[in-house]
Amino acid sequence: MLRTLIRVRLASIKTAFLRQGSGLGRRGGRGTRILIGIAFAYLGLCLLALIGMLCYAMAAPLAGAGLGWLYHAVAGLIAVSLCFMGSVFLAQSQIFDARDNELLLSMPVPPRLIVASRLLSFLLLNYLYTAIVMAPAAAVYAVQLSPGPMFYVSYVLGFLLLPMLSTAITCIIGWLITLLISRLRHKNLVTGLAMIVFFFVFMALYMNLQSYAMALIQNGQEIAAVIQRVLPPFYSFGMAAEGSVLHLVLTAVWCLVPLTLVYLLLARSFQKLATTNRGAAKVKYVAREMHVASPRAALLRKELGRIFGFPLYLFNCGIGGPLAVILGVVVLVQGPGILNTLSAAYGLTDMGFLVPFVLIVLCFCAICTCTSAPSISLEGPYLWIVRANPVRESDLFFAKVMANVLIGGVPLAVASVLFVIALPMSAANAALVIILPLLAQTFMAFLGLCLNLLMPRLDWVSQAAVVKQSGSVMAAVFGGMGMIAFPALLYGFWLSSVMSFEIFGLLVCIVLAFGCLLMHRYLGRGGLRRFRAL
Amino acid sequence: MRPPERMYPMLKIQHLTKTYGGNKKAVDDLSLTIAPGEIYGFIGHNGAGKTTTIKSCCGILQFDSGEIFVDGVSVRENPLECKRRIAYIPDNPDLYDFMSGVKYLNFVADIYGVPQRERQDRIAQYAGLFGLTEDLAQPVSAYSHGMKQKLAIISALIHQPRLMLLDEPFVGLDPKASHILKGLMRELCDRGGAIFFSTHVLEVAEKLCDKIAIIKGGRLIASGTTAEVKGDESLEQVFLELVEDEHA
Repeated sequence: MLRTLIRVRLASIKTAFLRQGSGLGRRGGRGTRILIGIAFAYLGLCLLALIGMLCYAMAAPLAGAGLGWLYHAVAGLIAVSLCFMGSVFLAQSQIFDARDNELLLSMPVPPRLIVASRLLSFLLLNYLYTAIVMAPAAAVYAVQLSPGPMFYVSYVLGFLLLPMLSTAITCIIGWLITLLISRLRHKNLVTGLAMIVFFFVFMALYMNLQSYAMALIQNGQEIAAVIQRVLPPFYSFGMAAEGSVLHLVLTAVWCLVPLTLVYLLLARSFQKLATTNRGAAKVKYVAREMHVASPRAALLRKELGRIFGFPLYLFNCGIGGPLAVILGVVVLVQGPGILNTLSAAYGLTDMGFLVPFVLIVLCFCAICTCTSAPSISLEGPYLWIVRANPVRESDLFFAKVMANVLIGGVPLAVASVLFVIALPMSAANAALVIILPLLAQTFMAFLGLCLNLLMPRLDWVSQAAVVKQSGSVMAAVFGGMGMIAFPALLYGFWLSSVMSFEIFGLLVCIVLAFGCLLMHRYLGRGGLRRFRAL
Repeated sequence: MRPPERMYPMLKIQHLTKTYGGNKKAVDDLSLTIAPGEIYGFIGHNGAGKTTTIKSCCGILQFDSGEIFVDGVSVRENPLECKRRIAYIPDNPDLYDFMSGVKYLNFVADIYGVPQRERQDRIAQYAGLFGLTEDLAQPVSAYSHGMKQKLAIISALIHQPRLMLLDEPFVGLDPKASHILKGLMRELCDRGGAIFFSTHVLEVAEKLCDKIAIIKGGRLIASGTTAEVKGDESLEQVFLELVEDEHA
């Protein structure tokens, strides 16, 4: 039975990536699967390269200082952190709010088996994250320091054990989040804010990864003492990788015991948590003057309501706006110096690259706002409402694109103005800094909608899976990255010697506007046909 | 020039055929006509083609061949105009659960362009009738199945449709709400509108409907006034006999 439940869970994750259509079981075409495969490969390679470089910087100095265990402990810590960040907000929606909870509870399935299947599914996901960290960590260490066989045994066992610890932590925090927010009136707002704060903490850690590595090398002894005292599971793993059998056993205990305890805790409380409605106190309706709007405005309001009413959606597909504003405020407060440091970190030492760098940053923020990419899929069971009522498809498409443009464009415009105020630039460059990101945002909104019409997923079990894992979202984000990378490389390596940046920027604006026009045209014809056929 | 409106049937289905997956005919050459003032019941076993027919009539599904006219307007050629005259309630109303009940009703009213005064009066009237007024500020996600069904009914009535297409409308409703709905259905027909609804509750169909159609395997096997279809027997007996005859 457990195997069946896990199979169902994994099938749900798999179909979230690969299946398209209206619930008639159509599989994604070969093109879709290849596209998703490339997207995953690209993401995986980026992470592998990043971790590999970090490990390369740390391995020899730490081993030379007699702190080889610290290297392994840090690798383990990064692996567990990555697992945690990758799945903490998924835990609540996948375990306690999953749509099939009541269905499964109505069947002769013991709740403990439902919990076990959910935990094991998470564990499998965490193995993937762990491999991304531990594979380069092991490879770098093995190549640089030729360790003994106990190193390999420890890493294989560490790979199997450490995700159990992160699964336990993720699920217990998901459980606490469920308990906490279930009583809140504005739980969407609170969850959304928590996600945004969490994201910026993550970004701050990510941006400072290299400096942390340096600090680790320079203050190895002090940090080692802290890890030994405060993070014993990682200390044990580090020592095990250096050859201690006792610490290998201790690592197993540190990983297996928490997971078992979490399993027992969740198995006991699952049914209550999954079925008890602890909603906030009932609000009595008081009739007020009703706001009248046109069908277009009503559809737009509906889209915005969905985005702001679903924190995970806003967090995953709308983070670019706040990110841009925060960057703008930081640059305004700290002056252009911080941007010089940042651009130098990417090898752009020439001051002439400052404005292009600002544009790349702002366009990256535009890519991070792609609410239109899962918007057709999210109609799912509600599709009948827009179908049975006199709603023009063009109005629906307009609402989805406009919601994306508003959510991303307004903060981008604010951020652009802050950059223009903070940085010395010509009027032409200032115009580019304001116009180009807005065009990029509009392009992303159209691209997301077109891709979702090509890769819809209407028969979802969890909305979270649509927002986090659907092919259209990934394709939109990676397509957007291409939209930044291609012109940036083109200008950096070739066109900078042929034309001024202002002329190049103007050309990019024209290309983006033309792309928007093309996609608008597609939505009016092929897109319309695809939508009607859903 | 278009003839006076009353010359048109409220719903006219001509040789409707709808195929799924290229070979499975869900509806096969189905024709029927519903005049203003009629409550038309649509009965058949599970998978007979009731929902497909109703969804085709309200423009949700595209059909392979045939024609459907709502009040003289072709669903195929002018779906928006047809939708403005009809209201549809599905068998399992999934409503936007991120909205409150009143926001959902306001959204539907905006889509139909119902003026402010009318929408407020109708919401107050129908929500009061179904005992849903106090819950209108609650999010739809907090509603029970029956409450969602009531909200869907109110949203269907908010623009005063001329034709209502209802798929199993009584499922999930408490007895009082069922009684109110039956009254509203009759009221709409008395005003010159029409109702086309599917049901498995044959007693309700027998008492409520002016006409009845029985569908099996996508084909209409009987239709006419309730008296004509059932003759001297109960509707249940007739239905079972017809289904068995088809099996024989």
